[in-house]
Amino acid sequence: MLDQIKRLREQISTQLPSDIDPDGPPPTRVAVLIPAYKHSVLLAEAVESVLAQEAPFDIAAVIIDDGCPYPETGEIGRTYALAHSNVFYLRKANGGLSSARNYGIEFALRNFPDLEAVYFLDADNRITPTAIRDILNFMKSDDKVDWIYPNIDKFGIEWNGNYTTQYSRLLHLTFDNICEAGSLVSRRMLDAGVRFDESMKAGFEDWDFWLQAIGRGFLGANYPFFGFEYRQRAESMLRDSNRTREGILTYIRQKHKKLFAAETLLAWEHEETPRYAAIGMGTYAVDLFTDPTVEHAKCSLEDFVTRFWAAKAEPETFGVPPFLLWMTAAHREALTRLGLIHNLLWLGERIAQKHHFVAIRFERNNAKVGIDICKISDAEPLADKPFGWMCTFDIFSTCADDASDDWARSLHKPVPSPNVIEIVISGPFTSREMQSTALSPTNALLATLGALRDSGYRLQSRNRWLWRSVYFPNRSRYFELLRHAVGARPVMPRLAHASNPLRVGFLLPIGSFGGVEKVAYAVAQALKNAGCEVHLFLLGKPVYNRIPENDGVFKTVNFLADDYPLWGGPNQFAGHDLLMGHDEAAKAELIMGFLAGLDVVINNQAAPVNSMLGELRRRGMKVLNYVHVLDKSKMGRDAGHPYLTLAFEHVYDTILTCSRDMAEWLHGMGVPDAKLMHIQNAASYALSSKDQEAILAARRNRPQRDRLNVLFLGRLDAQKGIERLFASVRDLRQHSAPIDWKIIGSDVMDAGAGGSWKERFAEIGVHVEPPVFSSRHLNKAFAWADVVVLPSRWEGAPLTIIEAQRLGCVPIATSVGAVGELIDHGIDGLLIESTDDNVISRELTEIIMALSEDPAALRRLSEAAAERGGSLMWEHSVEPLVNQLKSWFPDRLPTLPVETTLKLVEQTVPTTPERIPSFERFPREAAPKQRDEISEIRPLQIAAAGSAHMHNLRN
Amino acid sequence: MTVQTSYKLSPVAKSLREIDLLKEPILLRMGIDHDELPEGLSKAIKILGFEGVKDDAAMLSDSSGRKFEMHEAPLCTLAVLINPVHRGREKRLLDWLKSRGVVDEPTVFEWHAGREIETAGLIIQKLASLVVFEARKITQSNRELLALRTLNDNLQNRFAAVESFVDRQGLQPFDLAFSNEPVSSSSRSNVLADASFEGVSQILPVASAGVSAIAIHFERLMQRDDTTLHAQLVTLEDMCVVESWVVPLSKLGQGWNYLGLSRTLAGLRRTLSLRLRIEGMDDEMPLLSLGGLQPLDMFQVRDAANDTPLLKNSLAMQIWCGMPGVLLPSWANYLPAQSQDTRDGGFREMPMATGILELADLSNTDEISFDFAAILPLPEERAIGCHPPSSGITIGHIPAACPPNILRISSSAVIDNEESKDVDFALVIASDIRTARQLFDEQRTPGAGEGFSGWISVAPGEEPRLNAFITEQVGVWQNIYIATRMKDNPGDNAFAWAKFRNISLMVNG
Repeated sequence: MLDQIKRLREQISTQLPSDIDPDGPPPTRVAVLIPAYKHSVLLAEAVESVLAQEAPFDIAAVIIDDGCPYPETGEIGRTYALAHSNVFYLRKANGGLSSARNYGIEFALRNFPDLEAVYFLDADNRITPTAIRDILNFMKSDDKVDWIYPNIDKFGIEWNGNYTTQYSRLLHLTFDNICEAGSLVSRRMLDAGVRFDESMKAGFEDWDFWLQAIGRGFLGANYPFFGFEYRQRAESMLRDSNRTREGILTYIRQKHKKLFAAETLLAWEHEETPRYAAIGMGTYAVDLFTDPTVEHAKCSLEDFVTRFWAAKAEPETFGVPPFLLWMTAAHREALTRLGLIHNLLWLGERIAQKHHFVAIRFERNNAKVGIDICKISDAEPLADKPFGWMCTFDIFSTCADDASDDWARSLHKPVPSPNVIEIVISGPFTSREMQSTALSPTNALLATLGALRDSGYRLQSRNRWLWRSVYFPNRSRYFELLRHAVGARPVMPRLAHASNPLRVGFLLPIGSFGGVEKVAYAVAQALKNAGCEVHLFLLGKPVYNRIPENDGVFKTVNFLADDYPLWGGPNQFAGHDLLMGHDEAAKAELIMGFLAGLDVVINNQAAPVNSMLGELRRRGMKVLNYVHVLDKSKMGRDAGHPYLTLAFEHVYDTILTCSRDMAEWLHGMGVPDAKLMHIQNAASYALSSKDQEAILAARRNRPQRDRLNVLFLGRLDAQKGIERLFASVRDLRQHSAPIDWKIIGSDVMDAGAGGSWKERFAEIGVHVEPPVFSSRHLNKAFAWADVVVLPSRWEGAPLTIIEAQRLGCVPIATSVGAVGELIDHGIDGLLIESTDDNVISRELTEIIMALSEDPAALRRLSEAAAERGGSLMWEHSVEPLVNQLKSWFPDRLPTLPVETTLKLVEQTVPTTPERIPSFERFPREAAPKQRDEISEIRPLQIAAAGSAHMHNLRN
Repeated sequence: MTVQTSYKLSPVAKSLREIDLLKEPILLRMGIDHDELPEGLSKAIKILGFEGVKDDAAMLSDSSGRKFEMHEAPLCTLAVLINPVHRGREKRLLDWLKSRGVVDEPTVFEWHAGREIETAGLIIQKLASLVVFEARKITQSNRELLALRTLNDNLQNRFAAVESFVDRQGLQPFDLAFSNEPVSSSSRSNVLADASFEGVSQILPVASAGVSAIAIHFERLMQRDDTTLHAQLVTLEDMCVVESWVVPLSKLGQGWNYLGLSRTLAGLRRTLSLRLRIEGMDDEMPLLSLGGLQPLDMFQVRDAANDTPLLKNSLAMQIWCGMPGVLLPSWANYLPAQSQDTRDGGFREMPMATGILELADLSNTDEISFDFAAILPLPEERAIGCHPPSSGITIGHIPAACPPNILRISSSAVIDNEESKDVDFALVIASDIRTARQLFDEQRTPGAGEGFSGWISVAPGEEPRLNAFITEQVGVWQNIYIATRMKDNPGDNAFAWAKFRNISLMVNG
């Protein structure tokens, strides 16, 4: 008792000076706002708990009678206000809980100039006498904290919930409203305009309140010994709210769309509960991150061990990263340099959840970047030394608990006892990057395990120390909350750069040298030049055939590396098999995770991903589709991606086309004009004007010759009109025409009963050279050739024509697709209008012969072609796209010089004179060549588009 | 504004008018015709003229001038309006009211023609103060109601706890709810020696409800009588000391020592912190045993002064939960709590500390004097002697002994000599002797922050309990006054060895 009296005396003595202050009562530092509606009697209990506060500062109790129909509420409120100088009773028309709290906030701000905080106390709840004093002190002890929330101690229906864990916005958004309204809120938050949403009358208005605070950059914190007492009865407003929870949450998610965006949640995960722990090898340092390329937390190995065992003891309160990585910083940096680190972590996470351990190995390969995944077995044992290891916290935790570490120690063996998957990363690693380290990752892993097993914390009893009930999820598993929130599994761990550039993802089925890829790479380069951050996503074979000129264009390269069908599906649209989002094969969560964190996706003919674009768009991404060519089935039916585009037209914000012809086709098929954007193709690789001029000069200065150099560059298949070419070459050779042929390309294995085209050309004395991809080889080929021939059956807007023209090489092509948009017949190239194979072969022969006999015409055509080809630039072509992106994302792109003509792309095309029939202007002769565009995907599409009625043209 | 009635009240025998006056506040006028008063005032409240007293009944007149008898004091006379010319005549009315038991005399206002507004203002002021006074009374009632409701909740919880234990068929009355076994180490730090003067603190890993005993483990200690272990159990959500122990080291042993609570904790579940410190020893501090390394920072043993961890271990401890009133078996070194200040909400009776009793002294020295100490602290008897004079009263004073959250002060009244005549005893809570004197003289009823037990006559051999309830808590410390007088006054005060014994305070919460 003496103690108690002493305490009370001390309190009184501390109060006395202010009590006798001649200037009046001490300033109110905290206002407790008590909305009252139908809790007439219990209201007195709430007010009493405020009056009982033991604090060395003044606390006001503000009762806000929200138009309560019970007279008793007013009687009690008025009575307390009359009896106590620090109790205020306000009455207002009924407007709901939010409105009442806001009313109280405004009153407090207006009347208490020294106000430091407000506390929201519902009329049926209570606080202990020391609560306000302690929580205000707690809040003031950390300048970064602006609201303090309690554990939930319920009386009535008694329950005590442990809410003690470091505050996490990720948890707050994705799990539940972890902050009870009965929290202390700083004045700063109120001054910043955070208020309750008065339209929310069905509950969770407090959740919205905290989300507003988060959106303005404020943070909360839990005080474990708060002294908040929550009256729980069988029925309550909260229970009503939970009945309509989904509806309210939909409203909240819509209202705070930016907070719920994947990139926001990812950033919070990185800060609050990093997903990966990279354990240093020999350094005793641990990096904790979600995105290793962003500034992140670090700790010592000792701290990590402590956290590890704390997480084991109280998993909802303490956590460690759920995925562990052993790899040197130098190796991580090598992967970062190649843009592969995020993809590796993503793959490692995916695989580690299905297998015990993931070994990581590098292979040097300057020609490609790729991923290979294999299961370790007697047939495929581990290589000498892995470059890294990954596993889950769960597996490592089991190893730490295990009586013996023999199982884990077998990781040293070629075929370890645990189930191991190896990820082999190929790429242009430097010799230094390929060097192994003094301490192998395997030893580092086992040393970490040893540190955990030898730790004194391991001996701690398995008793639970926190007495309140578990409510929160396991803190080491917040990554699952993130996955659930963004509908992804796993989520690509890539954060937005600090400068927040616009992130554009280019989706491709494969990373080869086809026209589709080249256009995508060129547009990516142009967007990068415009200030975007561009990323490459390959959904098919996990190989990116490297083109050195493109190094550095993509910030990251990402391989899905999964069994993902690139065409087909159980649904039908206009004779095309397709996937829809709900189909299992669409792998919705996988794709959502793969593409998480982008602002814009541009689908470049990756058919199955169309099924997920709607979901991406719903989550705030802008979705573009790039359409190149209308393919044909064997029977001649139009088929391919333009039809898929019609099927999914609804989800695209914009559809890009490489030709006006394609845009017109889509418009004719029902796509609104406003959605269509024609991006004029240009040469796929850069060429300096000096180099261009040098080649053109060499051509001009070439001695007069009596032979014509004719080039074909392309796949030896039906689409490219190989039969037509063969017939023409054969005819010209039979007539001993003065033609030198260069046919560059690869055979297509299933090209029909005729066998290998390479052999057939050899039989008539023409050697077929293997495909070339580098700009140097391409320039060499175009510089050699006087003309390039493209007798294709169908095309988009072939890059070969533009690249040939740029170097003065005259194109002779069938007028299919958008070829007519690239060639002005008789001006800068020659078109063959016929569709009959025989006629086309004959015309091709005649034109080649005519040109070989008319050097002047050839020169005139060459110069016009060079002028045209040199005028096309990607920067000009993508300008409408850049402007579109700017309109969608104001302030995310730097301001670039604005062209005076908006339709520059169209205007760069020289005015077309009246077409001149080829027969009228040129004699028939010669044979064309075509450049190889290895497009592995197109035959696939054709095959599937036609189902049983179409021939499979693929190898 | 209390309703005063008497055995004379019988509605059947009274006129209708008189009954009306027992139901509503009124104004009385003296020497003023009804018509002289503004119509608005007479419409607002019933105004009756006081004409005089006849046969012990007041003669009143209504608005029409008709007179009638009033046998009972009106329920609530707000004020008396008097013609200044008639000043002095109000004594007749006030005497009549007093004879009817009215303690609060109505305020008398002079009524001046042309200054009606001022007078109305005074009436309104009086009304306003009444409203505020009533509000305070109601809030006080609410507070008491809340205390009762809390008490009821706690009883419910306690009873439910007992029921749940009763249902545990075949089980022991005690459960070991948590055990953190000692881990020996040659390099073990001595946390009590490393801690500041405030000692160490350890958060317990179980909720308060049901806790009956906490065992701590000593690895080594010197068993000395002059050194004591001070232990406190504190709830962190409201910082209440729910139990405390002061144990000489001679009573502690190596190994487990069980700090038993005076009763099993009940009520709302709280987080408990155990605080331990040693008093009377500077060297060779007892070596408290520790459990293994503790990865949870919150549960590491801490310095009680600054709440910082002393080590990365928790204390070795056992926490026992059990049924109220059950002790651990005899094999255990069971140390019962000394404190009585277990706090679980509701009303609590706290004995006045003997140290405070010793502060008592004579207050009305200007009135009485004795050759011996009229006010004599008797701490060994937990009493204060208060010798009455043969005439008048003896008033004793215990300064600042009444804390703000007091509800009631109580004391037993005894005369410690059979030859004594009867003595009257009274207790008062007041701010000063002047106020106390008014209350002892029954000149007025207690106001805010005051309390009066009334006079109780006591004969030798009797030991009635006096209770003074505080009228309204005012948030400041008050004095306690005790008084005695001879029942027959003047009377023979020889052998009148009057004592106030076992003075206690009832606090709320």
